Amino acid sequence: MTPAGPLLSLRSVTKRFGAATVLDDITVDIKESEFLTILGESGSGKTTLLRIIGGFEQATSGELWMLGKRLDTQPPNRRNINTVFQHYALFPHLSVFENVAYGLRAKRIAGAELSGRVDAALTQMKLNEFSRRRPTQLSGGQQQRVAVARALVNRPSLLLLDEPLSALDANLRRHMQAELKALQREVGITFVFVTHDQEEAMTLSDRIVLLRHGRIEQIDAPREIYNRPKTPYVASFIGYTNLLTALIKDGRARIGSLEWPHKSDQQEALFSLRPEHIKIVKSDDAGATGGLRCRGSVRSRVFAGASELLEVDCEDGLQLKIRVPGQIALANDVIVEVPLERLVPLVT
Amino acid sequence: MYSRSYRAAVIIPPLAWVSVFLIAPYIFMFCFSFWQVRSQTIVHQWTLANYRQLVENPVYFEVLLRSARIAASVTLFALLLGFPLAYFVSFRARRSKDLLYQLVIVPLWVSYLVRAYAWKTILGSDGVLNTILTSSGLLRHPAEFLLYSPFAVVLTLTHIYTPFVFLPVYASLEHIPKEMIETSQDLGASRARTFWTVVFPLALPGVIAGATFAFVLSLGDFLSPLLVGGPTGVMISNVVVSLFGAAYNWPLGAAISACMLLLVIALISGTERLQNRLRYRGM
Repeated sequence: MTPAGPLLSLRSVTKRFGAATVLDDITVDIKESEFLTILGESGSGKTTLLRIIGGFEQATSGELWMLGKRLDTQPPNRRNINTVFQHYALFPHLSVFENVAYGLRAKRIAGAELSGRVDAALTQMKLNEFSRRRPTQLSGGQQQRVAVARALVNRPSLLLLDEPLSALDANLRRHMQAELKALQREVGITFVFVTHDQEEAMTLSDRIVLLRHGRIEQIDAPREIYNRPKTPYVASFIGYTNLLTALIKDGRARIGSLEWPHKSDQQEALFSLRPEHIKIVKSDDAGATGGLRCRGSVRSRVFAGASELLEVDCEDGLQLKIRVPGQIALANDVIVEVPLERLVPLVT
Repeated sequence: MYSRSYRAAVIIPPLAWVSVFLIAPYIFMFCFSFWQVRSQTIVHQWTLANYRQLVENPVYFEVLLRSARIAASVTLFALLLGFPLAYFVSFRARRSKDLLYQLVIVPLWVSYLVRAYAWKTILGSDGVLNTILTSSGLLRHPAEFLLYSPFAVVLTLTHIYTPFVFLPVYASLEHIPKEMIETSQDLGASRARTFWTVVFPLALPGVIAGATFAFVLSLGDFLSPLLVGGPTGVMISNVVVSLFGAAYNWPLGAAISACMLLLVIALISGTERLQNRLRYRGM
């Protein structure tokens, strides 16, 4: 076994539509068997990036390489990549069976091999009983499974999914997320998944590529992205956070009355502090955990089931969002403790 | 919700219009077809003689057959022209799409008569085409077969009815989601395969609608055969016209019209059923 290189390499991929730069210098290595999510708001260029990988758009500059072979010069029908489109695009004039068989027939596969592979794909997606139906006779979730089966039956080395769950209602959506994740583990095919839903990205992915205005903000595992965001955008796009500006003087950083040693050439530094990482402590005796402390009063409480989101005004004017376990008794005046290691410095 | 008088005011005018100008004439036509002519007057005496004559005299059937042949040719040629044109405008034209679409529509604003007449000046023995052919030395004498022939009728009708094929075909091509064509390519199909397995089947309702238009409208056409058809290009409607005119045999003309009407209604309802079977909602 040789150490596996990347399955797909995007090298400086740039896409312009007229004067607008939609993708700017995108370089990513996609590994074999990983679940990679391209996350971004609408207009971030995520769908364009997917379409370039699928071959439906040409990059203005940059290259795509797949297992050592140039990919971007190949038309879509010559790429060993399949796509699940947002609206599934099932062929309405063909039965479920024929939809799934479409790719195999295009490759001149027929007879027992064809029916064997189609049946296997239908079984995998629990669609056997629907094989003679037309797509319009199926529910949204079933249609989605047909679209996935139709792509996977071709045994692609890469499966692209363009917001495939966005048309489904919340419950079905969570169910399909779990199903997709399990499926990806089972078949071991690399999934590149596009979404604007950060929660979906966190749940599903091995790694997330976070796009903003056509640039990569950060590529990391969900845990890393959440705990170690690199930029203010990442910190606030993924989950809730407190963005705090500290003044730096004589090797010490200061936010309100909070003060700690910090080395920097700048006079200011920006930090992200997750609400759930801030503690409410009982007494004023400092030092047990070594966190920074200040006194404050609770301005508002928002109940969110398992947790509660507080807004606390500290005496020194600092305002913090704090997440505490739900339904705990709280006085109006509290003491807040910030663990030093939870202050994540951001690149501005 | 609405008052009685308001509802009456809204419903009665169109109902009256349809009754007076559509239903009543049809009833008259059917009545006439069961009456007869005796010594130059129409006698209101019920008989099946007119229909018997249509069955027994092969002339009428032959003219009907010729009309159907001409209409079928027109349909075929209009499809061969209209489909590729619609395909091109819908999928390939990009920036000039609107302009091309308008160019196809514009001839419909020109009087039918003018368009049919134009072919007379093109095809005639001293017409545009023959002048070019003889003056360039390709022909010594003007070609006579161009005008006053079934060929001229087919040519003229094809020109006139191609937009009627173009429009429904174009509409159904425009309704095919781009994603569906991309999916086909994504699944490994070539352009040709995508066309035959996805585009064409999904455009079929439009093709059938267009073919029905072209066939039905050509079948009942009487101006083109009158202007460019000559004696060998006579169609069924010309027979009806002459029966109502010079021949003064309204009952026989009405009988032919009734048969044509039933034929066309059967045709349209058949193709409509076919279209509905091939149309996919929620595509």
